[in-house]
Amino acid sequence: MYFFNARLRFKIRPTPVTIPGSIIAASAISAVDLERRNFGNYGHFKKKLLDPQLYVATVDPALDPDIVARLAAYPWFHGEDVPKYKSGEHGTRTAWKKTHKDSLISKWTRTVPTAPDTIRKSARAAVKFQLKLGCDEILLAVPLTTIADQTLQAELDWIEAGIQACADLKVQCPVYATVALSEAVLHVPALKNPIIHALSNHIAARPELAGAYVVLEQTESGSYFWTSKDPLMALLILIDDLVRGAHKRVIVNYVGTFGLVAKAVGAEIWSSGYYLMQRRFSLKGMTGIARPRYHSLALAGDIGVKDDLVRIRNAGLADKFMTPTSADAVLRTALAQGKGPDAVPEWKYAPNNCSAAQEHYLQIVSDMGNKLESMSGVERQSWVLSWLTQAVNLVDVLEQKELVGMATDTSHQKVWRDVFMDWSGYAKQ
Amino acid sequence: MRSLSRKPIVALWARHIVHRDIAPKNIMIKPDGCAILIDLGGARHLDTTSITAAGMTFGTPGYFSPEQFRAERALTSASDVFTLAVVMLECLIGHHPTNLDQSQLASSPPSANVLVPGVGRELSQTIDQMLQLRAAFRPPADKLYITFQRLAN
Repeated sequence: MYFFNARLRFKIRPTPVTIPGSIIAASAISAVDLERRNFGNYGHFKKKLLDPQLYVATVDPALDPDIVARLAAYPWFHGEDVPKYKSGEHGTRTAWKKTHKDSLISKWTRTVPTAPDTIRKSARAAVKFQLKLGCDEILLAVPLTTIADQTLQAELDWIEAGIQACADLKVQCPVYATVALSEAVLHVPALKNPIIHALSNHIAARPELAGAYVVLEQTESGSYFWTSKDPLMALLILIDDLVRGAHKRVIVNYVGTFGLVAKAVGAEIWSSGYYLMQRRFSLKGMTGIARPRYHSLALAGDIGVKDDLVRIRNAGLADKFMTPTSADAVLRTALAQGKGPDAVPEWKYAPNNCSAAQEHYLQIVSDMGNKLESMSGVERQSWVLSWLTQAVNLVDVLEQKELVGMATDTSHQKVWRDVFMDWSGYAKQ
Repeated sequence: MRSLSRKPIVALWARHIVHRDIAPKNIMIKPDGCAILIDLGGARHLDTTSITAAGMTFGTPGYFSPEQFRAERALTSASDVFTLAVVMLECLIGHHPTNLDQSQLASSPPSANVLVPGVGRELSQTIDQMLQLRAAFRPPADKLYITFQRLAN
């Protein structure tokens, strides 16, 4: 099923199919704010998970001090050093954050604790915080895998500490080990990547774990989509190992609509969102100014709003590329009348004018999440193959007719289709 | 086999220890028929630093799991499960299933269903699952014990 990748703003416009749950990123919201949010106000928080994001521990404060200040306020990063918020003493939470921002950032070491006692305390703090927040499933804090060291000693130390914390705290809900993999360890032929099988082997061998929460880190920050074959194939093999092999469950985040492929391969939950920071994870850049992008399910990608939509309309191809939702109705009408997106305020190409584009994206992914949920495994795989084949065909059409500029995504579809076909062949062996 | 799957593998793995050398030379049969696993000299606890040099592996050639053969260091009970299946096949057919050819064992493991078709469907299926190349596809040691217990009864 599809889960919303929640950031600071929880409020989204209602979707025809209610989004069944959300994953909150610790880097997106300060602990003092999160603890006081009323989740009952939002339908898409019927199920909620908190990603402790220990894998972000090496982020550079110079890139984004606000993110570091938010992360550093969680007890699994700095333990007892985090000053408590007391409304009588500090006044507003904004005042607390302002007062302590610099000191929190100054303590940010850009390292993951390695001392056993510190790991134990931090792993326990992450579990305890999630329990207090009422999370439906526990995601264990685990560092980013950045080197191809098959011992996985740091990752396993944190997983063991998390499992022990769950036992000590008598956790009743499902527990997932975070598997955060840097792109740096994934650019080897996936079938021969020992890291993948070592990880699945260890998660499979721990009956305390329900499964894995998988995050891939992009080392390049600018792209909305994964365009390399090996990392994506590694993800599918990991899912397959855990789901079909070990009968575990898998949650996948930050792979955009490749989550639909992950679902077809066996993932239980895939999470994404409209904005770049919700679709992919990169330590090099986590924020920026957004402009509207038109998501096309048929294309399995975004179409540039500024020029490309008009070019596609002028070629008489709008129906083939556009995915009708209530959020894009006004845009489709304008295009049909010979106007451009600039004639529609909600879709005007302007900084931060993304509400309609976000609503459109969320309607598509929630709807597809729901449809895939109702399909059998074979039907899902069949749907994904025809979806990606169609997307590749549409890319060919765009290229032949020279209809696209840099703003439309056309570089990943063939990779996605080929990876899925490779995996299908591999899984049959 | 029931006694082997329970005491050595499940109990060791509960303490995060992998035996790494399940082979006929390390299995003794007591007068009551119960098999015991000896020689934990090569057993490794996950929390300890490996003293085996990088690229080297510990165990008996012809009885390495695929991941052991690749000299992977973070082994789990799945490795012992694989090697136990090799020993089981050897017991059933009277000789080593690949004549100690480790490469074949690590690339295309033998099938109980082919080698000993008359052994019974559940047992041959269980052995074949234990011999899966991908460790995550092998049955967990605790479930294996339950299977063997049922088969023994």
